[in-house]
Amino acid sequence: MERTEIFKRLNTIFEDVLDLDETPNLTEETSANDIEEWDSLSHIQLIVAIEKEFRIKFTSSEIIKWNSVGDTVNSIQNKL
Amino acid sequence: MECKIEHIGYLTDNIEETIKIFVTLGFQQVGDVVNDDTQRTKLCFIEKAGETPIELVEPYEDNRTMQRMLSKHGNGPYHLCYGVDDIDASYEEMLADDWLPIFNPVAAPALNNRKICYFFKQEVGYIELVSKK
Repeated sequence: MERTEIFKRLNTIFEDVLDLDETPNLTEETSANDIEEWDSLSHIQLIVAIEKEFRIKFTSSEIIKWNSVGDTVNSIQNKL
Repeated sequence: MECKIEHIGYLTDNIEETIKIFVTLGFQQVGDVVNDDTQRTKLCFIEKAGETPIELVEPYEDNRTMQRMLSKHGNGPYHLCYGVDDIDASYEEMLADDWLPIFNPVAAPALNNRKICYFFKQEVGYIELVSKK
């Protein structure tokens, strides 16, 4: 799957899960520091939603290495 | 990992109103309502002889993530807390068992500053570990 398609789906997921008023326009470098609603608890909710959307399962060791949305997209691509 | 349930975490939109109902079920409030500014929650424990203690958790208004949990699920239990002898060792053990950490062990004012940490696994939900001492 192309990265642009993954980002498109992630934008929707972030908007839904974090209850944002508008699309977050995620980039490769976006991190939790850039989105106020993205805290440690909502991070879990995002992961659950992402796994469900893409029908994949991440390991904890993968997840804790992520520093940005770009890292998450890499993990998603590796599993598709 | 050797551990035993220490309390049940119970999410509420109003600690005082929830306490009133639990009192009718034979529970008693233990200690004061504590404000945990780090976790952005108000906390209070209730106990009943022979029952597992319950930790009532009311999120601050600005705790949007937990406010969303409340909107979605309503008041009710949302985590189990297990007491452990060595929280740092248990933390590493949980990681090795593929539990997803919410944060590293931190002191919890409502628990006499004993260290706590939270984990998540899709099959179980949220669990909390607390240092026994």
